[in-house]
Amino acid sequence: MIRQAIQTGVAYDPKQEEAALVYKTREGEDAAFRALISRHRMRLVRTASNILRDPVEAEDVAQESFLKAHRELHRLRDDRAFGSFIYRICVRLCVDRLRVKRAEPSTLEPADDSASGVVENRLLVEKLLNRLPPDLRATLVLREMEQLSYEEVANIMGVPVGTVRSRLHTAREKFRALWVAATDFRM
Amino acid sequence: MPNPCKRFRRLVLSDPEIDWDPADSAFVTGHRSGCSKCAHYERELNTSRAALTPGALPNTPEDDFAQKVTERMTQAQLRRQLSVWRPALIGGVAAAIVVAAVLQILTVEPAATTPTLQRTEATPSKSGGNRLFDSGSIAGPTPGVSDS
Ligand SMILES: [Zn+2]
Repeated sequence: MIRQAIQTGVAYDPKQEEAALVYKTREGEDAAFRALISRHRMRLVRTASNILRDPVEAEDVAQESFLKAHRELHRLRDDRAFGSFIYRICVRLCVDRLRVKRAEPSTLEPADDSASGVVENRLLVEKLLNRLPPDLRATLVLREMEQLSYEEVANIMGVPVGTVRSRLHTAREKFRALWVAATDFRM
Repeated sequence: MPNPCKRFRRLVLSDPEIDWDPADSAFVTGHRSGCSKCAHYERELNTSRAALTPGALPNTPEDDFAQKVTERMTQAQLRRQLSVWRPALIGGVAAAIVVAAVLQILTVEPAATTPTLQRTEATPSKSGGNRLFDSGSIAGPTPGVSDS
């Protein structure tokens, strides 16, 4: 597609290409939908993993997002916005899963001195994120890990920017307190 | 005048590049150097925030991801079709049972009425004659035809 654009002298527009794939998917072309899957699956699985902290469940939610997006394709007003449409579906499914999940009563013990590697850090982050309410957790992950703007987070979570700001404020403060308790922070 | 420690903490919990103006930056720098508690708080906050980034999971989808989506889609479509057709199927089966039952009654009825006919045959009618077929006792009055 890029080569074709160079040859024809027409500027390559990935959003336009995306819109064409969405149109073809609506027309029942399976190959077009598979192309949409391969475009967005990486980002969806990564984000779902960061929110849910469970790779298997993340994969499941990402798949479910594609099913839902396919089913609700008629609700998409602008075909060029399929990316944010499916991303929003995925994040909301993650938050729904977190809400349904029973709060796991995990005890927080100070981290082991030897637990200083990346894996240990991930495990600790996972434990601490588990203790945040779903909306705060998703907001924190989207902003700190996914590096999304306030507007993007607001759009995905379906809340005003002011709510994102206040949720971030609360989430950061709660995460700080949990981190200090878990690591016996001294500086 | 808001509490300076509260203002400092509110500011460090936000994003400087988005939420701060030059006056906020000057305030944070000044307060940090003068308030050890807030400086400590900021270090705790920054360390916990820094832990979040490497805490991200480098998860990549399975190779058969698209295949699984397609399979789940087919299953979902089957389930939807079944949910549409199931009431019709149940209705059809129920109707068939009713029809079969009615047919059975109709075919069994003449056999069941035979003894009555035999009794009628054996019993003289009120009018005294030996009537082979007392229509009134079986079929009742003909609809739309008065007795008079
Ligand atoms: Zn202070």
